[in-house]
Amino acid sequence: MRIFRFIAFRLGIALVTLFGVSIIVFMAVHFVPGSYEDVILGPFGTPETRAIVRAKYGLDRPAVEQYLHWLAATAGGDFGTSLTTGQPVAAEIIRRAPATIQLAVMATLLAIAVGVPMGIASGVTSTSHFGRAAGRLVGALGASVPVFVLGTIFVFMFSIWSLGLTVGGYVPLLEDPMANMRAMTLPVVTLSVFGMALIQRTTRDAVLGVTAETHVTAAVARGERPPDIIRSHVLRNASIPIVTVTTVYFAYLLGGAIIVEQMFSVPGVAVYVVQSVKNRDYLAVQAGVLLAATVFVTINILADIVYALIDPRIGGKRSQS
Amino acid sequence: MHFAKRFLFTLSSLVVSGMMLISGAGSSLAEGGTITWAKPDEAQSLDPHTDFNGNTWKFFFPVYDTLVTTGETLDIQPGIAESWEQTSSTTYVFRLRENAAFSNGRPVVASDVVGSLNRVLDPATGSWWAGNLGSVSEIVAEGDHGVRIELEAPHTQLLAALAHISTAIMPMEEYNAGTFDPTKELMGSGPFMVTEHLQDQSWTYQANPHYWGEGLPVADELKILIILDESARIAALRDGRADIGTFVNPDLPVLLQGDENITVVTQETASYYNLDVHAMAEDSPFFDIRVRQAMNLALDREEISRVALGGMGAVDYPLPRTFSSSKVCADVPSYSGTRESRLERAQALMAEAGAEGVEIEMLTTSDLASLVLIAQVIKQQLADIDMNVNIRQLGYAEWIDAVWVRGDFDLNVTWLSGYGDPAIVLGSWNPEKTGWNAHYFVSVPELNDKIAEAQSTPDGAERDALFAEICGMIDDGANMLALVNKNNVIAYRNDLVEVKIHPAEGYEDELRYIEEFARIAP
Repeated sequence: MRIFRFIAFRLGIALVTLFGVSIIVFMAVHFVPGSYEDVILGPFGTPETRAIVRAKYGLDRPAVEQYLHWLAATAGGDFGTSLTTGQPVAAEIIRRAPATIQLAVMATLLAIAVGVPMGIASGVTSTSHFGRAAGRLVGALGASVPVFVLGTIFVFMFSIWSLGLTVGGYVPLLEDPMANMRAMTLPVVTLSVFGMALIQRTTRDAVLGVTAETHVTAAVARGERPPDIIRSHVLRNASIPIVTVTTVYFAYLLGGAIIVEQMFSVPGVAVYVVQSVKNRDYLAVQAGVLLAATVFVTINILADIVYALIDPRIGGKRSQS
Repeated sequence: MHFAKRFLFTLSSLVVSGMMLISGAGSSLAEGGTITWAKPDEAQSLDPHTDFNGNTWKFFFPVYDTLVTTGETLDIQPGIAESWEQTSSTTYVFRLRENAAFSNGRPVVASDVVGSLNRVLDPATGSWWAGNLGSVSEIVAEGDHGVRIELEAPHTQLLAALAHISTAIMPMEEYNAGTFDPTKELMGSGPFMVTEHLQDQSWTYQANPHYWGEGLPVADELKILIILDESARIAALRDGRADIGTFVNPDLPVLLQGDENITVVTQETASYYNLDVHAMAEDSPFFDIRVRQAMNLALDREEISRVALGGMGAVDYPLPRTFSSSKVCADVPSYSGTRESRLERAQALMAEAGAEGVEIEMLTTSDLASLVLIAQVIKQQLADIDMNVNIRQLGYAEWIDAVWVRGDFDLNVTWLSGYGDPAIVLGSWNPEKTGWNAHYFVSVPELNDKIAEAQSTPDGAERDALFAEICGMIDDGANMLALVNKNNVIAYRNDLVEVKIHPAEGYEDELRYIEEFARIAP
């Protein structure tokens, strides 16, 4: 019963959060300098032609009326029509979602595959100077090299020596898996380096914390084999912070990795939203941002529910608070 | 050293000047196939009658025809009208091609032309180009293939205005029936028709089977890839995913110097970078004409071309240098003498105006890298007359809002397109007519009259004399300053495609002969 109260409470908070996001994104796109008619008419717009464009697209109606109309339509699943293309925004987002999801999933998996073993190795060898230095160096490098720097290096290098990979040229996974992998490898690697460092550092800290505990000392004293100690005692107890950070990282990637999508011409949701901001394509921006917020909130709720299921004390404390 | 190197490479790249470039001559050509063009921008809208953005027009060119078009040197050529006649100073009669048809197979008839042009002229459409057609009194269909345009007054630039994609001929029967919406789709009588559009990713065009050009287009398919990142576009050229790429980076010849199968072409255009000066705000130093004149004299256009554009440009005039008559503008004060002598005069003017330690805000948009480079060079140059310039780079929409809606700037680096008649761009210097610069441009009645006179005077010595007077007045007012020309940079795979690139372009249609492009047989 307590768990249901907890879930209901979290859903309520999520709805309030999304409502707040809807207001903020609507205000942000409508009140920043530069409007849709500015983009369409450019320098040559006159007050008369601007008024014509505003009236044509209903942008001359009061902001509150526009917001309520949009909110009602969005609640019913209708994201509206793009001002730029005249096509449904929802269809455009659905078309782009697979690229963004694939990028986020692959980058997260790669980050886990590299970050967790490195973190464990770094944690269990922390008493050696070399192990400690190597762990810190890898973590610091991965976390401090900006994505655009790494991406630029990759674009430059692989445009000269392709090594079977392509810079851009995205093809849907189901259409041609090999071509898709050739195009997605570089953006995935670029994007996952920060994740590797993040997960490696988190894993290392968690492992260090767990190895200092008495039950690990007892296991060592009992003469258990190191691989068994790591698997049964260390990893299991260190997993919660790793899951937490990985979840947040994955949700962040699903929200869009604009720099990587743009650099490697991945036709994802993030590029769509940013291009729509540039074009002042209001409905597309609002839908994109609201969707990213929904994904983020949903993944966080799921993570909270999982914690509550694993440790009932968490659900109890949070629902009471 | 860096600039010298860049300049040399620029020179060593192929500069198309006064000659038509046809690559791949002698190679055997494949029939059909796909031509792939990588470009950086997506379309902002789909309606050619209202969109002002040259980057967007590039998606319209393969689809739509205009009544007339321009040739290799901006000369007026037949478009969907195979011939025309000017029967009086205010009457033009066009004869349409009888074999022209839209991509749905319906023949193009005079009512399509009349309806399309009337749509452009209708204030409810909101076309930015309508004013360039002059004072049209009526457009009449004469049979199925004749169109007569009557003007209230002579308008020499009419044909050049009709060559612009903003007067694209649309299927008006379908438009009126509600089965064609030009804001949501493209349908014309040009060589290609759109079969797929993936926003921010690609456009796919198939050959229009009803196209009037015999044996054209050569390729079966045209694919435009939207590749935002310039390095990724270069990579697409290198690995053969793209046959042609268009760029803005003046360093391109340097970047591609080792690629023997890629040719870089610099195509001259009638467009130029220019500097807007806010002369209407009383709190701006440029409210004083002497400060404006001093600033104009302090500019070193050759240095702007050399440093900011790596030599990929040349000094330009209010009358674009692509037109032979532009030479009449070369002797005005801000273009004459040495920089030192101009600086002396500029400093004297500043002293006379009592302008010391002037703080200036110069706007530009980060959307076009060359604008920012030009702004940085100008900043250095104006320091020589004690002007401290603060550069602000804005996103595109914010820039439009700041400059053309709110007028919140002192200087603004931008560009103007010259099109096919020298008088079209000169119209920008009459704020009462254009309206869009009336909040920062001082209207000079005498200049307005001269521009109107040039617009109605036939080409020749009399018109050139008017142009000379106009250039002098523009230089004196120093309110909008032409800087250097804005060339197109095109790179293509010389081992994969045969292309035909013309030496001068006025309408942003750098691949004007794309229907003749062919793949080279493997």
